[in-house]
Amino acid sequence: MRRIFLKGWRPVSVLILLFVVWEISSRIFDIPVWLLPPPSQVWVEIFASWPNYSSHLASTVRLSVAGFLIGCSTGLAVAVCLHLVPKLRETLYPLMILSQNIPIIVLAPLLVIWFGFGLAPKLIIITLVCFFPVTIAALDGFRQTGSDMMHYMKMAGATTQQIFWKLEWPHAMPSVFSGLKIAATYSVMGAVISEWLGAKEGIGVYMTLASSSFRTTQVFVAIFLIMVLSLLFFGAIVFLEKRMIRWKETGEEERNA
Amino acid sequence: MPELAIDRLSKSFDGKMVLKDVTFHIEPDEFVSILGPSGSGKSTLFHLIGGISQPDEGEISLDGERINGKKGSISYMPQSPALFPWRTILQNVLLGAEIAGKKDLPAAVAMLEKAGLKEYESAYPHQLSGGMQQRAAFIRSLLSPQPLICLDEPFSALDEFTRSEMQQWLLSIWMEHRRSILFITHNIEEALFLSDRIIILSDKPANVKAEFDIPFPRPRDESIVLTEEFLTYKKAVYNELKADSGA
Ligand SMILES: Nc1ncnc2c1ncn2[C@@H]1O[C@H](COP(=O)(O)OP(=O)(O)OP(=O)(O)O)[C@@H](O)[C@H]1O
Ligand SMILES: [Mg+2]
Repeated sequence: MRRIFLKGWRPVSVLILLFVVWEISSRIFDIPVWLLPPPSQVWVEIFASWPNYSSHLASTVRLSVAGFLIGCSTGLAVAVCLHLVPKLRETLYPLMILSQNIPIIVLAPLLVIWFGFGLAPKLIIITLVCFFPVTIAALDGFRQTGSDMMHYMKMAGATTQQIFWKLEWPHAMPSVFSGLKIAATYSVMGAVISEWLGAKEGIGVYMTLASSSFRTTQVFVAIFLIMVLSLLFFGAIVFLEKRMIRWKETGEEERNA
Repeated sequence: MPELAIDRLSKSFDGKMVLKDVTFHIEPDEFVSILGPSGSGKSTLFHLIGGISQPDEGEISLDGERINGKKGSISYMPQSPALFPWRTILQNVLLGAEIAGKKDLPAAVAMLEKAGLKEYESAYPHQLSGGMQQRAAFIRSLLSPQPLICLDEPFSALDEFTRSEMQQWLLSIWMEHRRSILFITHNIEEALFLSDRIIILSDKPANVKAEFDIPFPRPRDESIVLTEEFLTYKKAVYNELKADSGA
């Protein structure tokens, strides 16, 4: 707890300073609320409109968790396939990078044309943004095993399968978790973007409705919710990582503190 | 019948000959050291015996069976301990046996206890000192089912004190669990202190230049390194090695 406080006070104080400046300037300059609401009003709105957005929030959480799970499993599966079949890797790796160059904003309407307004196009979008960081991280992790450990495994007569499960897979775990952290934050963004396309519920919908009727305060509430969700997802992955990877040296953390 | 027989082994990399007609053998339960200048091809020799690369010419046989390019027939300990950081020490020492499909938990626990690593059974490698990691790595090779253990300069990264401690420890463990050992080192004293026999490799391309039988009785005590006889051997080996680099 103390460590969190010691590490966290700097960003938190910057945030508080920002809010203070924002609050004061919106009062001094008398900025209209529909243009830029003061943080105090956003704060009040967060509690006041809970009944309005709670179902939207739940829907976005469900969508991003589902998309995250599908995206990350796809990412891991792709990484394992590409790693175990080098020919496949050579062929598909460049294509995978290309796939990341298609702007989601362009792709999204196309997906709606192909798959309708249901769940499918939304999950596809989240999967597309989530799988890439996981695949790249996992592939790097699989490949960068120490040469001494690899020699040992080969000399000991380990099969390709044994080498994968006993060496490459565990070795890739820390790197996979870095990928998962990125994917976790992307998944919320992906969910909101996919909701813009057309959905009955979700923070994305709530946001579109709010901005089209100039209820700017609620737009800020939506932004706040998205940030909190991303942070929560991120935190969940960090927690999982701490639970699963106990073998890492802790020296580094201590040095940073 | 010798445990390991190497017969006229040759190997080149990119047209550059590294090993040329290397021939030697190891008797069962014998401790043989290979001394040679840096870059002379000692590790390459291990890679050939271990089957991860193929010789250009020659035969390698273990217990009379040809093992050219056959992996998994020796137990290997690399220069760095190469313990797997995500495995506890106990899981680490079991790895070799696990790969061969012959896990023996009680034996591993007993061996760790004898090596003074009992309390580190469930510790991770980074929590151990360099010497302790080397011990764990050696126990891992001992617990592997293969009859021959190949050690590639296992102590070269250790400081002088730890090194001599480790040498004695290695001998004491080996006296109890006899195996054939092929030991690579740069260090003449280390080779003399540990081995039954020393094989000296020449430089570029490597060839067996001389062999010394080391007659010191076992168990050996640290003090023998100060005896007249030891120094005489040291001089002879040194001259043999030096004659090579001078040429
Ligand atoms: N895979 C390889 N491809 C090309 N050349 C190689 C390869 N492996 C080893 N060599 C060459 O073979 C020679 C012997 O290498 P090796 O690693 O066997 O030496 P060494 O005797 O173990 O040296 P050291 O005592 O420093 O460990 C070196 O000149 C090295 O450049
Ligand atoms: Mg070497």
